[in-house]
Amino acid sequence: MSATARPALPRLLPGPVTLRWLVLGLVVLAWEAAPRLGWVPPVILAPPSAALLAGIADFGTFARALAFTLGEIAVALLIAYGLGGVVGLVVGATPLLRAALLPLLSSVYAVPFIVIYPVLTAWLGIGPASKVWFAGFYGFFPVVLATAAGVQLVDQRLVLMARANGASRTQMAIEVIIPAALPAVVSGLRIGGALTTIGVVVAEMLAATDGIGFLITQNRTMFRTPEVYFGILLVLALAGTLDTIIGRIERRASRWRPQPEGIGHG
Amino acid sequence: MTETRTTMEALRMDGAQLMAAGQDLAHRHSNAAAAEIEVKALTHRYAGAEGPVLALQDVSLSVPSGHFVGLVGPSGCGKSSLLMMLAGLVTPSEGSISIMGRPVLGPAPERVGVVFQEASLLPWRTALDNVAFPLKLRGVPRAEREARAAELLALVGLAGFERRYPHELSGGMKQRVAIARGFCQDPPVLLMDEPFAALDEQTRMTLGDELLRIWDRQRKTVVFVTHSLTEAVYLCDEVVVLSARPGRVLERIAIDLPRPRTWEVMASAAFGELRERIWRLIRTTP
Repeated sequence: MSATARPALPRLLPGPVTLRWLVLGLVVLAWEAAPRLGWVPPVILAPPSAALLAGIADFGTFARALAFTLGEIAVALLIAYGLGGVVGLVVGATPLLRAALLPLLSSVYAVPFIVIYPVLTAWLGIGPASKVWFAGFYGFFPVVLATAAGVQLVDQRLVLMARANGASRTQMAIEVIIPAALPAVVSGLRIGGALTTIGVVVAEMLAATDGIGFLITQNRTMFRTPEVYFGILLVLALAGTLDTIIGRIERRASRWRPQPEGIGHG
Repeated sequence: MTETRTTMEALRMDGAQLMAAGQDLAHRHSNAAAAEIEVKALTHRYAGAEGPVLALQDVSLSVPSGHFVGLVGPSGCGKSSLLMMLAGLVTPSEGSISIMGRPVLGPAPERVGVVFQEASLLPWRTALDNVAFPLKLRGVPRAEREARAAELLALVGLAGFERRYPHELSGGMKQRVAIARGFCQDPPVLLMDEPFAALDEQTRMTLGDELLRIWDRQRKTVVFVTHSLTEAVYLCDEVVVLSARPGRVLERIAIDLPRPRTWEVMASAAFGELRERIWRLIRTTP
């Protein structure tokens, strides 16, 4: 209904959604065609159909590895979001800490953390603990930085209004600071979520005993290319799902904001 | 044991009598138009970029109960700072403020309501929730505070807009919501910080009339900061003219135009004279 208000596009051009699926379809098609037509050796690039078949054939192994990885991601997210959110809130709301720590945190964020992973495995072993801590801290920084930035951006007039009405510290945080900072925080959660997922999988690839990343590396060393690609597809699906969930939360959290289309929906 | 109880009862009796006496006293006071806001020898400095800035100097002011008082002055004269001090949001460097006989040491929403500019609405809350916000902070149950907020929205002419978010309202409507919020706790004193500054002339006039209509019913003590002299003369019983920084009270001008006022009063000679008098004061001071 709102589409009628928009200027009509020339009929020849597809809509953005159609175009997106078209591009995606072409990529998959090229991927399927390239190894089948002999443009690329199948050992390097397995066609998606072969990857899917391999995955179905070895479903049990993949499902177990996926569950293991999901567990690690869940705990790592707890560290990234929980710790990151609290630290971001405190640092963002305290001028002294903000001035002292924010530059430090953003420079540390720029360090490629993967270099410390071998050290972590020496401390924590190659079990899930090293993955969880590595990925948790990998995702921790964007969450801290985004939360601190969001808290800083809170409209001071709202803070003044709440103070004039006698808001306590806790009420100020719950009623004003957190809702105002939420859009910025959620974008931090998004980046943090992606980094946490990457962190777990990459760590599993480097040194592990289980999980999707481990499975990918293992299959690669055995030249089982379709299985490698199925593992990659699973990781992509995992990251995509997490991103979609956070996107949903983001939209829910900003329902009060002016919508780009259909202003008169209220 | 019995003895203690009787002593306790006697004490309670004394308390009750004292309360009654206090109320009586308060009554007599209000009959004599007691000063509800008392500002004594207020001086305020703050740390600016180039050393300390003297914002207000020796400002004394008393506002009788139920009066509508305007604060005007050149920009940067500290009229908004003065209002923030009355609201308990800024602590003055020297001097004292008391409202209803008690010193102002911090925000006291049950005594003092503040109406800010329209931008002070919480954008993620509906009109109803914004009006009810002060009550929510005080822990008033949802049903009760929503009933009160709905009543106030109706009072400011926004019945039917309860579920709208601020971005779905016009500037004038948002300001009505902010006014309703100021009235929400029914405080005897209402402080208004350039509430209509962001509005166009027409909306501004309409809202001024609305404000007078509501005030006429409730007779709260109002301190109204504005930079519009027309608005000040039209709305107020008295206009306090502050000098350029450091802000001092230049003159307190009684606006003895009859009430209720309508827009015709603006065309009167008396209105023009009062407005001009204030303008001269502001213009000629350094």
